[in-house]
Amino acid sequence: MTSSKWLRSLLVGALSVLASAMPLTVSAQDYSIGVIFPLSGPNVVYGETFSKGVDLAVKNLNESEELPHRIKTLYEDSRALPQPAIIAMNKLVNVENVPFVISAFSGVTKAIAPIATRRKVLVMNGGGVSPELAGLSPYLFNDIPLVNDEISALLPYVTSKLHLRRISLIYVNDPFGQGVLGVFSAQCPKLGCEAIPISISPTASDFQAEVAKIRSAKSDAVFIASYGQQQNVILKQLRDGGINAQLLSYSGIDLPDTLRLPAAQGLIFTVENVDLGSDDPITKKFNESFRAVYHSEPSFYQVNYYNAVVLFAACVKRLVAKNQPVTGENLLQALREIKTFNVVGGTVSFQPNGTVRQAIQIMKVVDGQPQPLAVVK
Amino acid sequence: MELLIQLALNGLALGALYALMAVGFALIFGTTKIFHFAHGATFVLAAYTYYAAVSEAGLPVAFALGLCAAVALGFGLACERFVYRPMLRSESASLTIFVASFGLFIAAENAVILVFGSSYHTLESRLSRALQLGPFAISPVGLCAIVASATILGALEFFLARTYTGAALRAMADNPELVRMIGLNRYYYAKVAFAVGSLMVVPAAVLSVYLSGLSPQSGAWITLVAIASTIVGGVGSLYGAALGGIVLGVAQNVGIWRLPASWGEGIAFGVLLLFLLFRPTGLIHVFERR
Repeated sequence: MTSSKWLRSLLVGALSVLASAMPLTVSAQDYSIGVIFPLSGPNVVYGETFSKGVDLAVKNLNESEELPHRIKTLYEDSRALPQPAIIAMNKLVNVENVPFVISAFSGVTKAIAPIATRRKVLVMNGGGVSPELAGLSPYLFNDIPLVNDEISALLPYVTSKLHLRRISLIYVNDPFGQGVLGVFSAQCPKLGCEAIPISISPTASDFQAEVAKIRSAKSDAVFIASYGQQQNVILKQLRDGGINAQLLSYSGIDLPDTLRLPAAQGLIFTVENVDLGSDDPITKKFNESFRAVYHSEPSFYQVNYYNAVVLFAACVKRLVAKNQPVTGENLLQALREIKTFNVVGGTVSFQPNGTVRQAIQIMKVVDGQPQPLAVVK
Repeated sequence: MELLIQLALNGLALGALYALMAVGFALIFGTTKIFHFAHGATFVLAAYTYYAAVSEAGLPVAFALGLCAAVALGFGLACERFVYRPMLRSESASLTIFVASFGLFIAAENAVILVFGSSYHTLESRLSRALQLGPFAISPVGLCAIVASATILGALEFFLARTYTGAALRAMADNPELVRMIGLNRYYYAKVAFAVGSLMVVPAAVLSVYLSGLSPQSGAWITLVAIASTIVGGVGSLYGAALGGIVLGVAQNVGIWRLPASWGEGIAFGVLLLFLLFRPTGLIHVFERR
């Protein structure tokens, strides 16, 4: 074999190995959607939880062949921080040209919203709950009630039924936590309760000083506005520090590992009211496939992210019927025209500020499981 | 006033842990002149070893403590033998050694993230639940931190003042050239300094798991605190480093008496800045001790 032939064989061999090792590329026919979740860092637990909802919806829709082409998800890691999220969003819209992005976390969603507006890409948030997300961009939709809706349901309940008046608010000093503080400041005077705000850093893990302040304030209740594993540390240190006041929180605390903690027993929190017992075909399909694939019961977060893909599919179907291309602008138009969507748990529609309106359920943790206390419409 | 005293109590327990970290760092730095930034990594590795041994492997606490000490000791000695000693032999600049130490810290932190993830972990124990002492509350773990710190620092003082090896370590800190000239093996004593300094991390790491939980990122904060305590106390003084740790712990807690709680870390480092500006020699001037 001459040296040139030998080199050519080597090159062909190397290219074959490379081609076989490369992942399957996205077909030009696929509907690509971007997903920006925390896939590393302290909030990875949310990324793992949320992606189950997205992946299941994509699997079910692709198997059903309801759409002419397959849906393909392109995941990017935000680490639940704005800066990596901006890099991820730029990559998704400038390199991958996706028309639709699924996001989570208030700070992340707030950071990518201007890019969505500028590049006309539809963003569906199913996890961030800061009140600041309402009306932030015409291209931003929240298929989760924002925390102001949750607190507006919780505060009247705990003040009138449980007679809790002095509420220490331990909140993360970021867009989400500041949003929570704003809602407490606005609502407490009207309801005759007093909020005692205590801000914490998103990366803090030692809360001895905060516990001392809460004990000194002699609060009836402590509202925890944090997220991820930090909530577990706060719960433990509050109880270890001898705080026996009623603990309160919002939907972000609804993680199985957190609710099983001894310190979480008796905790009262809010979640959106999703009727998973509904016998409509979408809900039945979701329940059956979720249990079959993940061997567990779904959380409301997984419902939200499943629904985010269902909403995208409904808009695509409309565009296909009208023979229009799937662009962010057309998806927005389709979403406005359809108005009411059939999703898991019934139907859903968006308010003019881009946020769903849903009933809120008040839950109490008993033996590690959330038990319903009341539904506020 | 009750709140102020309570915050001071919390600060004392936290400061006791900081003191252990700071004295370990100051001992290594004082005797070897190596800026051992990876001291924080020793803390993280020790804490995660203890957590994994107790929580995941279900080992008895005494065995977990031994394992934790072995890991801290092994890591400290490995740093000295395989990273710093070859660099010192090739007469690398201090900055190069610092960068290597920083690299070690990042590598160890990432190794922990790879194995345990980057989330927070805590351990449940009755000993972490606060005891009510009149209007004040302190957990047995917090009391343990104060007692352990005082005992270990006392033992270290005895070791340095009353043993031949301790005297050699003090001589290394004062004049390494003279130590070499009288025929003592400075690498042997550097190894001893790393061994003792790394072992001092163990009680701080174990008690922190119960007091505040742990995350891979906690090592960076711990290293900063150790460095800041050494500066606040007075570079070259072990007493100073211990005192610096307690001052920072108390300042971090008491400082938020009238300020938002999230200012705690900022206040601690504000204290450091004040010392650097107005008393750069620290609380205990090394020359005053001589």
